[in-house]
Amino acid sequence: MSDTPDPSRRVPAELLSLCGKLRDQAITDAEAQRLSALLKASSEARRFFRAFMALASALENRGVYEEALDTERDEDQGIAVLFDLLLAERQAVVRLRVEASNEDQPGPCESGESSLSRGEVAGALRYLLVKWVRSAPARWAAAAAVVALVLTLSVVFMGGNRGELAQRRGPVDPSPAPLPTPAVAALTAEFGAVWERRPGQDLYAGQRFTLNAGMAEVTTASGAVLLLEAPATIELLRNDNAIRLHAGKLVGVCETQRSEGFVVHTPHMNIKDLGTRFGVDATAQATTRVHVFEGRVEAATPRHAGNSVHRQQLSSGMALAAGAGTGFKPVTFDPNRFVIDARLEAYRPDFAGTRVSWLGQLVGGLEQDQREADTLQVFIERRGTTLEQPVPVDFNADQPWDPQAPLGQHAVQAGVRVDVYLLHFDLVEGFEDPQQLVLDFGRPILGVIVSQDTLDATDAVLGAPGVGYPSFPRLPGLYGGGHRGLNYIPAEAEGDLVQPEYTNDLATISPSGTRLQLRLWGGHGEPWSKMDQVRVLVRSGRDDTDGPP
Amino acid sequence: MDQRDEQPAEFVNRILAVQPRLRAYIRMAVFNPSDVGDIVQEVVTTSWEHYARYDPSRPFDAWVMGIARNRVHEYRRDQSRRASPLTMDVLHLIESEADDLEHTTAQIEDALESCLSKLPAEDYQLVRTRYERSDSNRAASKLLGKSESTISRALNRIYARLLICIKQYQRGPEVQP
Repeated sequence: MSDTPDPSRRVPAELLSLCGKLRDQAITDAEAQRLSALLKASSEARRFFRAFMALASALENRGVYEEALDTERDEDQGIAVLFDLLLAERQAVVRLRVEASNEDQPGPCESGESSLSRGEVAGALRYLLVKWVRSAPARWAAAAAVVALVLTLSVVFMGGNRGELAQRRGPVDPSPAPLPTPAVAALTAEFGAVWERRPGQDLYAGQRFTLNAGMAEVTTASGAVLLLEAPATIELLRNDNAIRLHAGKLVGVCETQRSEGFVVHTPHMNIKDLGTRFGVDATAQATTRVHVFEGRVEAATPRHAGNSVHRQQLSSGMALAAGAGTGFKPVTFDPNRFVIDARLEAYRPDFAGTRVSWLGQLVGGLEQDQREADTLQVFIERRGTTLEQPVPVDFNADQPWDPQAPLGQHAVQAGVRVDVYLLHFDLVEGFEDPQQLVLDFGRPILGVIVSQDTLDATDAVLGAPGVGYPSFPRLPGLYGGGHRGLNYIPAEAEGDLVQPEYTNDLATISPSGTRLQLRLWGGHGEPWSKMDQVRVLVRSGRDDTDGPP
Repeated sequence: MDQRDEQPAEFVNRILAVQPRLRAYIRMAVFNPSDVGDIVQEVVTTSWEHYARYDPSRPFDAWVMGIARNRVHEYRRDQSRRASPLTMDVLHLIESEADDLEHTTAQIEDALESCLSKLPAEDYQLVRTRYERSDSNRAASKLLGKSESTISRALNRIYARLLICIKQYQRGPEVQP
């Protein structure tokens, strides 16, 4: 595959000049004939011509946005303007003001607070285009309803009104002040960060920053949250739903609709989010690795001349490495290489091995198959919650789990301040052998819940607000934790329900009272076990309380 | 949401992804830049009208580029000599080798903003004035108080710098244009 012309081969001045004249519509017949002859004679000249015109196209497209702002529009032009705005994908922070049909009644956004990010504007316009496409069987003009909507949007560049804009554009300005540059991301948190050159709060396309120590959180205009771990170097791109990681580690959390498809460009692979949390490690010069904590990503090797692009999708619990000019190589998934959420690091339990993922704050949902992974996923559900009433638990440090006794018979008393963790085990592939896992919370474990009934009963008071928890029918009889919890099948119950290789789940609290020891069996196919969940109540030792981390 | 409801959003996402290449292809073959946007819109409209016939097992961009190719040929036929001053055999030759366009436009997309920001201030201002504040060299010449030919020559020099920077960007983004 060829690409832009090799700069080491000097472009003939004549070819450059003739291409420029064609671009500017200033070429004479004789010059056009000469250009045709040059192009006919040389594939290198044709390659240069294609790159030259592609650059002209890209630059002209940048101007579409401003042109659209300054155009007196009628309905026939409305949808074309909308489409131009979308296609331009121009990076601009603009303000949208909905012009009320009655000028005495200001539109809902008509205030100094109406500033929207370029991502939000693009999202709104994209929505309108989708609406138009859905409603328009034929031509642009047929979408009258959407045109009317478009015409209600007054796009005002950087806070001015149309009059000010026209004034600014009108007179000759031989040394114009630089036009405001749009921010594509913001620096939203720092954790002991030491920068080579400290960025401002707003981050702009083309800027490149090196974090020498600590951690920093960057949030893009599209809503992707990136946690950088030093030493790391990043570069902001024109596309606000992408970033370039030159070196270092980052964790990407893409939970907004706009950030789906977020791309991390690295020297050795490009990683595209498909709705997920993932870690990228570009600390080694020779390779880049991606580890998927949740959801899926698509990894692709970069386009280089002569190389074909390799693509591979990864789901949670998978990891992949790529080097310069090499394909992909599976590597061991290791979430412990990354800090998932620096603000919650104080809550991270200690654990060893690669079969546990610390995912920080629980958001979203935990329905069956929603967060499948071949690891035990550890979330924090509540921080610093003071119990208003006693809550049932299945066992504690003094009263070990007795699977054959009625569950939910113990309690953590009202008035106690607790942090609540949820351990979630919903397998993709399953394990051949039971998994032995130890989590050290560093604070006394006050109670553990391992049964479906007790989990269901405590979701409302101990679960993370707004999270959808699984709802399964109750199982009659002896079969332990039901579909949600841990399962312990008494020997006398073995028979047609139990596979020969079945091993009971186990959970115990260490003598120190701070460590939870688990043995989880990851086999598939038991009708009573859809997933394993364990809720752990730990004495809160911090001042933090629930709320946004 | 059923499959039919998802179609427009899916189409919009796909067409936006292929747009830089589509526009570049049409720009190559169409002399008048103001016609380029119209043809892009016509191609998008036609693609949507026939989207039900699109075979998802085939690459979407190839399908759209096929529609674009047909539309460009129609335009050339209608406009005759005015479509492009280049001879038809040369245009066919350029077009037949245009497989590299996807790669080229992707390189430009990736690197353009960075390369623009590294231009000398005067050149950067000229690019912004020419492409963001005006729609022709003539309009830009009035804004900047320079002759059209001066602007044209400056743009040629800037294009050469940008193409070099874009090329080198994939090798290492530290290179100054």
